Parts: sequence; C-alpha cells; structure tokens
Amino acid sequence: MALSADTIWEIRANGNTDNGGGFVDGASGTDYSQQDAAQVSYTDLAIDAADNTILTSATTPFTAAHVGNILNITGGSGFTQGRYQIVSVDGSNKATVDRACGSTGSTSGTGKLGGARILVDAAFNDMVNGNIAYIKADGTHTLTGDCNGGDASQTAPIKLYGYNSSRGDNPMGTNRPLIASGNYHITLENYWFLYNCRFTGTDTNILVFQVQSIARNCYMYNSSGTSNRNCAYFYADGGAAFDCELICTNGRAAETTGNGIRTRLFYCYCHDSDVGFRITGGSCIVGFCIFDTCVTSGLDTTTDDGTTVFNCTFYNCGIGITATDVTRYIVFNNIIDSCTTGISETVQNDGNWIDFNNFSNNSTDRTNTGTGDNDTAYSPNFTDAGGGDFSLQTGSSCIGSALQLRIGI
Amino acid sequence: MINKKYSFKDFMGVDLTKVDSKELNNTEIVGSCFWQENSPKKQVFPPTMTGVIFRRCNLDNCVIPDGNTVEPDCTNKQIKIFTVDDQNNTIVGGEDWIVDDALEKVEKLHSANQIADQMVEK
Repeated sequence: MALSADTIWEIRANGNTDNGGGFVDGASGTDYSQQDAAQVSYTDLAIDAADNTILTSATTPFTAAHVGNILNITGGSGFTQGRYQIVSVDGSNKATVDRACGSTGSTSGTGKLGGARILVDAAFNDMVNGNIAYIKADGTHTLTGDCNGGDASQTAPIKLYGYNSSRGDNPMGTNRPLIASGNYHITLENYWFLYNCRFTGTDTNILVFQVQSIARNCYMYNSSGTSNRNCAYFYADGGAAFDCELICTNGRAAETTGNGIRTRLFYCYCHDSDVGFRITGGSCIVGFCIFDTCVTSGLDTTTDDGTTVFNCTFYNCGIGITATDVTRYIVFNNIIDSCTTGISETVQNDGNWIDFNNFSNNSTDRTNTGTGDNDTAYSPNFTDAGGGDFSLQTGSSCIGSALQLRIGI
Repeated sequence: MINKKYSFKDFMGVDLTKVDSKELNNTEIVGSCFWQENSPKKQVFPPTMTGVIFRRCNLDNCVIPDGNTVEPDCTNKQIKIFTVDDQNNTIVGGEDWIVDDALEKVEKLHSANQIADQMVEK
C-alpha cells in the first residue's frame, strides 16, 4: 500500500516539520491534523516481531481514535523514516500502517501523530495523486527553499486550498494566507491546483506552472529590482490562472515559455508591471483580463501560433498589445484606453483577425494594424480607473457595442 | 519565548537596525522572512541584539550579530544577482548565485534554465 489518495493534509505557519500532518477522509478515527501540535509524540515505537506493518507503543498505546491519522516516524534504529497512515488498531492496541515501516522487532522508534505541517518542500513531496492540502492563514508562511512536488494526474489532481479560519471559507484579499517566497518559488507540478493564497517574493518566478496546473484567486507580487522576472511562469502545456492579481514591478506579471502552449489567463488583473503577459508559447487564450499600467506593454506576444485575446481591458500601458511576427492571431472585444499605442504589430498581417475593439484616448491607436470593420471609439466611462475599478458606468457606450451572442437566444 | 511581534511575518527588504534591541533580545523568532534581495552580508538587525534564536526563518543575505543562534531549519545563504546580457550586451535579466565571503560565485541558486534542466530530467 501507500498513503491514501483520500489523505487531506493540513499546513499551518504554526505547525511543525515533524508532525504527521494528515488524515484520511472518511476514516473512522478522530482527525488530529487540524491542530498546531502533534496529538502524540512517541519515543518507544516498536515494530512487531513478525509483521513490519504493525506498530505498538507501551507508553502511549494506539487507539481506535488514531485510525486514519498520519504518523511521521522520525527516527529509531531499524525504522524507515517517513509518513504512514494508521490503517487500523486492534483490541491489543496494535496499529497497522499502510506499508512496511522498518525491520521486524525494532524498538525505540520516535515519531509524531497528528498536528499540522509547515510549508516546505517535503510537504509537497509527500502528497500523492488525489490528495488535498489546506493552508491556513495563521501567520506568514515563509519559504526556506523551493517547493516542488511530484506530478499528479488527469484523473487525480492534487489540490491546495488556502483558508482563513475554517476549511472551505474561500477567503479574499488579505484574509488569504500569505506565503513569503523571498528568493524561492513554488512549482505547481502537473495537475496541481492552487486556490486562495497570496505570495510576495523576488525570485525569477514566484509560481511555476507545469502541465494543466491551475491557480485561482491568488495574489502574486514580485518586487524584484531585477528586470524580466515573473510572477506566474507557465512552463508547460495547459497551465492556467483564473481570478488572480499579478504584479511584477520590473518584469512580467505572467509569462509563457515556448513550451507554455495552450496557457489560459482569465479574469486576471495584471498591473503595475513592466509587461502584463508575455507570450512565446502557442495557442494561448487571454480573456476577461485587465492590464493596467504596464510600462512597456499590457500583452506582448511573439508566437506565430494562434494567440486569442478577447474581452480584456488595456489601460495606461506603453503598448496595449504588441505582436511580433504573429500569425493566426485573434483579438476582439477589447477596450484599449489611455495607452501610448493601442495595438502594434511588426508587420501588418491581415490574416490576423482584429475586430470589435474599442480604442479611446490612446496617443496612437494602431501601428501596422488594420482597422477592424466593427471597431469603435467610445469613451468607456470606467467607474474609477485610477483606483483600479474598470467596471463600466451605466450608460457607457461600450456596453453592448461589441460582438455578442445573437443567435440561439 | 516566541517573539510574537517578529514571528510569522514578512520582513522582506525591511531594515530593522534601528529597532530597539530590547524588542528582540532573548526571544525566539519563528517562521519569518528577512530576505534582502541582492544585498549579501547586509546588516538587518540591531547590532546589540543578543540571545535571539531563529527558527524556520529566511535569513538569506542577513548578517546575524554574534550572540544569536540560527537553527538549521533556517536558510542563511549569501546570494548575489549577476546580470545576464544578450548578444548586444544589453542586460536582459539576472541569475541568483550563492557567493562566498569575497562575493565570488560558488553555486547557482536557481533560474529558469534550472527549471528547464529539471524538465529534461523528468
């Protein structure tokens, strides 16, 4: 056996490296992971003389309440350090764990059962496909190294949820847990989903996205004084960010590499950065995002493989959208306001489809870009653009002026 | 005694040298980030601070005054950013390197290239 796919982990700033940190959803015991301190600290673990999946403790006997908890064996001659699930406890207080935990007959093992973990690389590495981890906003979580777990799968992703005071409370703003990344980063490996967290840092990237890894309702602020760093770095196929706020003072709020194909960015607010989103991977889709005060450009695409940008707002950027040698490029339903240049292409390529966009208050609306048949030039009447509120006031001419569904309704 | 004021906080880039050392002396500071970007061997704490035990803190680039303890679960590397130029000698970014006392490169901390290497290894 191995740790159960149904294991739910608890990560707290006030947790402990050695705590068990998890409980198997639906198990018959009592969940001791949702507390700062371990429920039991063992110093006399003993492995059965005949079966190395059976443990006992004379001073703190195992009980039925321990079933489902994760035991972290931290030491002892003949013991294999690691985290084990208490699968069952019999009437003789013998605990059966999910796999062999050392040599038969070993004694004086140490370990902890219950209690939350802290946010370190090992916490990520212990997770198996299908696991969930809850990250509590009980103080700043400080990284002391990079955190990179193992790949999950299409059928069993690993999910990390930030919460404030009770699991599932889906916090917003500063109620979300803060992760001080410093000079380190977290990699969301394949099929890892992350929700409801805040990050500060200066590393080359704050979050690295691998295949189909997704962040939602996250805040990332990269304040590095070095140029061309990133908040969100999409390294592989199909990463996505939804409902995130991204700020990278001297770099890119988001960036894809050439490998970062099919990256999706939806409902994100990228602002006060050098570049909002730099795209070099193919077939990326950007929708319903706001790019505000991005010094060089809101969106910078250099791929020739079908970037799609729609229903976005570009405000007060050097160039709203800049495209270098781009083909199969679709840009529609965007408001481009108060930029030095609205849309700029290196070479006009009428095979790109750029239409239904609203240009207003830009020094130059288009460079090497044709005028769309349905482009407009209305003042959008943002509620408070300077204050970051880009909702359209009632009566804005932009409301209902762009491409919208008109058949089948 | 855990120092609640300075534990589990983000002090990235913050200069605490002017803090009254009485706020810190003989306490335990847990889980805080004191990282100072591109400033190896930076004086961050009051020089008279003493008796402080740091646990699970990011103390990279920080000088820890004598008389204080940095537990092994902290990080206290000295890290400098070396600029990266393109073919036209234009600075296009920087790489983080662990440096020695003479601020010479010892080992690369990590970079986008390292991520690429990791991908290849997979």
